[in-house]
Amino acid sequence: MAEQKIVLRTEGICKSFNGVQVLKDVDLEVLSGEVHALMGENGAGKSTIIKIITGVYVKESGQIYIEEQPVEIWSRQDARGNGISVIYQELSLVPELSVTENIFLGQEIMGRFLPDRKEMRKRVQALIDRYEFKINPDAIVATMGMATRQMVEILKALSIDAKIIIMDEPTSALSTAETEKLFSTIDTLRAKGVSILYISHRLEEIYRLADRLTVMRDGINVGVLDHDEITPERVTTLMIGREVRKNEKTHLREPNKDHVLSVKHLKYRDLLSDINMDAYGGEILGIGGLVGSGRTELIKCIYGALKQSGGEITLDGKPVNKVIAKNIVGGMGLVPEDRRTEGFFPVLNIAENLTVASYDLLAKTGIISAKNEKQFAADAIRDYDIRPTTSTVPVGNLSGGNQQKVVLGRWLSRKPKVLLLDEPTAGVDVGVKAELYRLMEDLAEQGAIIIMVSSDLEELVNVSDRILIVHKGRFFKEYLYENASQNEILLASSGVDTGKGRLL
Amino acid sequence: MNAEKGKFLKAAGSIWGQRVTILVAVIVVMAIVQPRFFSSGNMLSILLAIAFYGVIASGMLFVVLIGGIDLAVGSEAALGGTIFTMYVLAHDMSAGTFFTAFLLAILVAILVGLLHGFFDAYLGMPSFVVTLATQYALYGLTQYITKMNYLPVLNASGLFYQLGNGKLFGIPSPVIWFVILAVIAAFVLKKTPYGRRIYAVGGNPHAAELVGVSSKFHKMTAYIICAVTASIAGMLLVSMNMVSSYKMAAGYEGPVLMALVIGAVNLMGGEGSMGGVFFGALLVGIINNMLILIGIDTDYKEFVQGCIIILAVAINVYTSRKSQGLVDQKRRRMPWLNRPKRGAPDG
Repeated sequence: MAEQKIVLRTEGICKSFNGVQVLKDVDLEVLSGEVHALMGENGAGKSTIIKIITGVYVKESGQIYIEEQPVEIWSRQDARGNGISVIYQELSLVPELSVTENIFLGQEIMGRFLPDRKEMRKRVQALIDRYEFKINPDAIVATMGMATRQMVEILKALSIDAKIIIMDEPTSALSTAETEKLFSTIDTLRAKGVSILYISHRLEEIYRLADRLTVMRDGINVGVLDHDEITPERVTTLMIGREVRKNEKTHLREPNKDHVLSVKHLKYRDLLSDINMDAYGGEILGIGGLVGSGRTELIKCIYGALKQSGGEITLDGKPVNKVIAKNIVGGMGLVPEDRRTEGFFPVLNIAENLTVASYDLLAKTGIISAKNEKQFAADAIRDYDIRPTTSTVPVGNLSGGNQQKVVLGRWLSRKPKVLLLDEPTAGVDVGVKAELYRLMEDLAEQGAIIIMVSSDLEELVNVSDRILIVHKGRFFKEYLYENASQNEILLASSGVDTGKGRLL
Repeated sequence: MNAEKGKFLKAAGSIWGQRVTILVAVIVVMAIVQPRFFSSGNMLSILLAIAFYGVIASGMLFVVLIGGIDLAVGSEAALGGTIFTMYVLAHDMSAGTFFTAFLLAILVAILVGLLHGFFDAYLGMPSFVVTLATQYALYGLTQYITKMNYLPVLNASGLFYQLGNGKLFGIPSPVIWFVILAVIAAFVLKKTPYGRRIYAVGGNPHAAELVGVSSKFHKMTAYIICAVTASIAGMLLVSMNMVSSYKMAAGYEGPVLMALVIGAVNLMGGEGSMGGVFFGALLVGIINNMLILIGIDTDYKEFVQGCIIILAVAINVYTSRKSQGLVDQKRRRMPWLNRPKRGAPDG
């Protein structure tokens, strides 16, 4: 490989939010013509450092260098001016316009009176030829697939002489074939000397693409690996660090095999195939795997919120209904992944949010009993320690943790037989997390079936009695509480078999 | 517990305190500017105007609560009133004919509501556009079936006459209709699971689905309720005036929406009460009357009405955004607010 210059370098970048330091002296170095991967668990600081480089956040201290010249980046415009481009997950193209129009949107080359279309088209064609993309400059973006649209985004970045292109989870919206297309595009760019900073949590992608890899943990750069050093074991060890199991469970619950939710040969579109599992009363069953691996769809199929394409789901031997309202009456509940869009009702107050799924209990005569309703809400506010304690405050005004307590409390007050949880503690602070875990464990003690989907490895390992890992639309591994570790789960999520755990 | 109750009463007291203050202030101003305001004839005309807007507003409230809007209420009233009148004219003034005609008009209203609900709930079309279109269509249809004529009812008697002109303890029938419908609406919304679910669907349709509340069903029924109340208003109008015309309720959607907005019903859905709408209808009726009494000409009157709507919507949107704690959302919608501040600490 030819001699490589340093394109981007950061030195001692620090950043804190509300007094919590999220980046500590981060040094990062990207060479010309390399694909540099950035990995780390959720909250490790990957996106914060990216946002500082691209001018979304302002750093507190440290220095950014472009080609060894110190630069000041205060805004997105500054970042662009310094040759830093980002390909966003939600693409920023105008679907109704052509490739050429999109690339020159807002920076049209003017003729005497009107934009000089011929000139712009010529330049786009030259760019396409240079990077050997298979794109027609006149094609309308709306007619293209996601991978091709990403190529247009990349062209747009190249048209303003980007020195470094940042891609944040670029494959999350792509099919397998499209992913391969993106990879070959990246290969071409690398060959032409363009640097790429590639963020992903998929090990196989990193291994396929990266020349070097920087791993972050808790706001620190914990290590840089060369391509040959990238092995799943090394990466996960760096990401997780020395593993300490917190609050070790003192006693393990015995699952009640008579109360069982059984899933057989479940299929959902092309996302899930041949899913088989039994979840027992009195246990918290954790479901791990990468985001987008079909975990959310699995529990939504069980709940009746999505129509499965095949297979059967039974509760204590009886088929589970396909209608949510009937499942709720039958003792089911779901805490969805995104509480703001699917969980709570922002303009409705705490009492209304808590009672919304329980009118079958509160209005036995068809008329809601004000007394029972008040009692129901007051009990929930007390039992789940919801703040503020005034039941008439709109839930939109509560903190994230209290909103989640309301969404969870809505089900707990019904004493559910089956509780499905999707990322139950996302965006919740540590104190509230512990409270939520206690509520879940209490419910398990009472004999309910609890299924918890989570991307938080620590939570998965410490809270679940048993863990199933989804990989490529199927269950890949099963771990019991005793033999689960964050390392193991991270590896299994990427399809690496270490020999531990039970292969499914 | 006690402190909580005290706080709640204070909050409830304060909003109604404000409303009563506004009403009293407006009435006092009226008394000074135009003493004729207090004449019994004028009081009656205010009450009647409020009643017609109010009947429609009781139904419109459901549609706005689920996050929709029905701009076609004027034409729904005209269609209902016209069908009612034509049936009676074609037959007789007997009670049997009256009930058949009444039910026929309600049935047509249900069909109109179903149509609106279908376009909104199943096709995801914006209700604003749908009902603007059906407004034209229904006016056209009414004109067509009446051959563009006024339909005077010269021999009005019996129940047909009583519907709009009857009195109970000296209170005109349309006012009684408004009170009854308002009480039913308030009861359904506050005390029944159906009513509560209306708020849930308007508050967050995705979350509603996940707690087993069908947003399709509740949207459909809300549009039906609205069309039915509009149709009732139309029948009350033809009975009172003893003439039917396709223009009889033209433009009613304006004051009705004004009543809702002044009554603090959130136009984004999920928030609002019948009590607020009652207050809104009262205020709208009085203001409209005031503008007539002061004797300003029609063009200027509409200008003032328009300004009041804008003002009321502005206050409504502002307070609802505040109550939702949507400060972050505002930042998301206006990304330029996120630009880092220059001169931030730098090493």
